[in-house]
Amino acid sequence: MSIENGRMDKLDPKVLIPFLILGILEFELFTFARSTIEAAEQDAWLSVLLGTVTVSFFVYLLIRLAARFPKENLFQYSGKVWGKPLGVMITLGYLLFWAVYLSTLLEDAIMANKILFLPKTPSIIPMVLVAVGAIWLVAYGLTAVVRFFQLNLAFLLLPLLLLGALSLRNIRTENFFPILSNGIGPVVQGTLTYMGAHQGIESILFLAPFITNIRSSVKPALIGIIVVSFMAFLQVTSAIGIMGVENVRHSIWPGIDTISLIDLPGFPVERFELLLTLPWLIAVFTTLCLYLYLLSFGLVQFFNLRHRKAAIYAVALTVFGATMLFPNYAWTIVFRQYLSWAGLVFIFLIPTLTLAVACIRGRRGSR
Amino acid sequence: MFKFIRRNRGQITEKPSCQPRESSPIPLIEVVPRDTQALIRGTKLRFSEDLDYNLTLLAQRLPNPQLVCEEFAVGSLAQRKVTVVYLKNRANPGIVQEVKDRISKIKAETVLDGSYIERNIQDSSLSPFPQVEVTMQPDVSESALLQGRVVIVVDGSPEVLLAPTTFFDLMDTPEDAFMRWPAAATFFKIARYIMFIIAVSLPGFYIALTSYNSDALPTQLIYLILESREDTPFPIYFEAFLMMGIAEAIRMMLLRLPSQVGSTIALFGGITLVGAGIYANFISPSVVIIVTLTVISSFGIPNFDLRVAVRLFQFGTMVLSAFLGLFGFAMGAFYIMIHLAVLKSFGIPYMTPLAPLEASGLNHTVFRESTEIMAQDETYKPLTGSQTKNKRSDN
Repeated sequence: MSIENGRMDKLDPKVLIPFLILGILEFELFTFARSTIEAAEQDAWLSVLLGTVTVSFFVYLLIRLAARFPKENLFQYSGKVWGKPLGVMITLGYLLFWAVYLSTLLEDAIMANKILFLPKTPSIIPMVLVAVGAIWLVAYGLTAVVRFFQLNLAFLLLPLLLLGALSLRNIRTENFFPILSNGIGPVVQGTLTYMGAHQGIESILFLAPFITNIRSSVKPALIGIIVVSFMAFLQVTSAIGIMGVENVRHSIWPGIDTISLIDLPGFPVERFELLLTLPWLIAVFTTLCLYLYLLSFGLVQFFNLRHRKAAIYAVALTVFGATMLFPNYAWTIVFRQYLSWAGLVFIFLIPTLTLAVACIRGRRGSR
Repeated sequence: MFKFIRRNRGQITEKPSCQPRESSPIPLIEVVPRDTQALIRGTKLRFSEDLDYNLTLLAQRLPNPQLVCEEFAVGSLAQRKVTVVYLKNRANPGIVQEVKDRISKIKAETVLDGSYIERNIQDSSLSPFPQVEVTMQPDVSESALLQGRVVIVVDGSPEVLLAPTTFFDLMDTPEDAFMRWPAAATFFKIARYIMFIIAVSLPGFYIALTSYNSDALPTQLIYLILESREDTPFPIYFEAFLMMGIAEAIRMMLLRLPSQVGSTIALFGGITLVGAGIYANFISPSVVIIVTLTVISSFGIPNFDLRVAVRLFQFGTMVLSAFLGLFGFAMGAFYIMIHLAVLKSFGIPYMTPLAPLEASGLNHTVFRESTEIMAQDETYKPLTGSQTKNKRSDN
C-alpha cells in the first residue's frame, strides 16, 4: 500500500493538532534555542513571536494548497503543476531531504542517549530497539502513526508545561535588556533560523488525503503551530533569562543546561532534567516514526513498489546505516544547521511556489 | 417484546419472542453470593448459568421490541447454545454481523465456558489486552446494549460477553454511572487511570531511576535509599523481581484458598516474609514500599483480565529498565502504546475515544458528565452513508 492507497484511512481534521506538535518537536528541544539566540541575542524571543506569525501564514498557504488537491499528496500533483521533469525532481529532492534529515535526527538521538542514559552500552542496542518500534508502528500506516501521536500528546506536553512553570522563578529579567539594541536585522535572521527548525510542517501535504475535510483544517493546524511556538517561546525565554546570552552561545545543548540550573527548594524532584529528557524521547521517537513513514511510503509510491513492508525495512536499515557516515558529533551539529536552511526550501519555498503556480496555471485536483 | 431468531447450521428461524417464556427456576447454587467485586450501589442481581434465565433477565430490564436475540448452536461433538443479543436501532449493523460471522466460524467440539467463545472471536489472541468484556451484572449488560454493543450469552456460563470493547470500557465501574455527584465520580475515574499508570510503570521506573539515573533523584532521597540498602547483598532489580514474585505468589495463593482462611494466611505469610526479609537484609524497605504501592494500585483496575495484562507489563518494563535504564523504560512504554494504537475490537480502535479522539466520548469515559439521563458517546453508534464508509475504512 502506497501513500495513495492508504488514503482510504480517513481522519478527523483535529488530528492535525497532535500531528503537528509531535511531528515538529524533536531533538531541537535541546538545541534550537542556541541557533536562534546566536542570531538574535537577547531579542530571540521576538524572533520566536515573529516566526510564529510567519509560520502560521505559511501553514495557511500549505492547507490552501492541500485543499486544491484534496485527494492527492504533493508527489502526485507536483507533476501536474510543475510538469513531469520538475515534478520528479521535487519528489526526489524531498526524499533525499527526508533521508538526510532522518539520519541526522537519529545520530543526534544516539549521541544524546549515550550522554544522558546509556554511556556504556553499545549504540547498536538502543538503535535496534528504536528501529523495531518504529518499523512496527509504520507498518500499520499513517492512521496508526496518528493514533500513537494522540496517545503520547499528554505525556509530551504536561512535563514541558510544568518545566516552563518551574523555570519562571529563576528567570532574570535584566538578561532581556536592552531590547532591539542591534536593530531589527538580527531579529529577522533569528526568525529565519527559528522557521528552519519547523521540519514536519510539510507533512501536512501528505496527510491531507487522509483528512475528511481538509478545508476545515486551518484552525486545528494553527492551534498545533501555536502550541509548538508556545513551547519554543518558553525554551528561549528560559535560556536567555536563566543562562544569559553568552552562556547559551557556548552551550551545546542549551535546553538541558537551562534545566540543570533551575533550583526550587523543597520540590520532590531535585534535578529537573528528567522532565525534559522523557518528553524529548517521545518527541524524537514520534518524529522518527513520521519521517520513516514519509520516506518509505514516498519511495513505495514513487517507484511503484509492491512490497510495502520490505520497503520499510530497507529504508530503516539504510537510514540507520547512514548514521555511521557522520565522522564526529561536531560535524553533525554543523551539518544540522545547514539542514535547517535547506528546510526553509522544502518546508516553505517549494509548497508556496507550487500553490502560486497551481493558481496561475489553474491546476486543481478532483473533489 | 423480544424478537428471537434461531440460527442452526446456517438456518434462521424467527420466534415471536422469548419474553413470555416462563422464568426458569434459579438453581440453589446461584443464590450463593459471588464476592468477585463489592458493589456500593446498583442491582445485586447476577446472571446465572441458565441461558433462559439470563435472557429473561435482560428482557425484563429492557422491555423493548427492538431487542433482538439470535441463537447459535456451537460445537461439533456436544452443541451448546450461544445467543447474541442487541438493540436493533442502536447497534451498528456492521459490528453485529461481524460478531455473528465470527461465532458461526467457531470450529470447536464443545463450549465448556464463555471464555471459549471469547478466545475464538477476539481480534488478536496474541494481545495481552482483553478485547471482549466479561460481566456477571445485568445492569452492565443493559448499559452496553443501550450503547449499541452486542451481548453474547452462553448456555452454562454465568458470565456474558460484551463486544466490542475499548480500554475505557474495561476501566469503568457501575458506580461511575450510579454515583450521585458527577465531580466525585470524575475524581475516582481519574484516580483509577493514575493507578493504572502507577501499576504499569512504578517498579520499572524505580529500577531505572535508582540503577541508572540516580542523579535525577533529590540528594536526601538517594541517601535514604542507599542507607536502607547498605547491607543488602542484591542489586535493586533483583530485589524488585523477588518482591514482585512474592506478591504474585501470595495473590495466586489467595485465589486457591477458601476466603475464611486465605486472607489470614496471606496476611501472616506476607508480614512474616517481608519482616524477615528486611530483618535479614535480603530486601530493603524502599523496595517493599514500591512493590506494595504497585500491588495496591493494580487493584484499582476493575477488570480482572486487564489486571493480568498489567502484571505482565510490570515485569516487561522491569526487565527493560534493568537492562537499559530510563531508555529501556521509555521503549517499553512506547511498545505498549504502539500496541494500543493498532489494536482493535471488532473494528473499533481500542483506545477510542482518546485515539482516535472523540470529544463527546471523553465525557463518560475519562470523566463523568453531569446529565439527567445516561451519558452516551458515538463510539459504537451506527453510521450512515459515506460516514460508514469513512469510519469503517478508518478502522
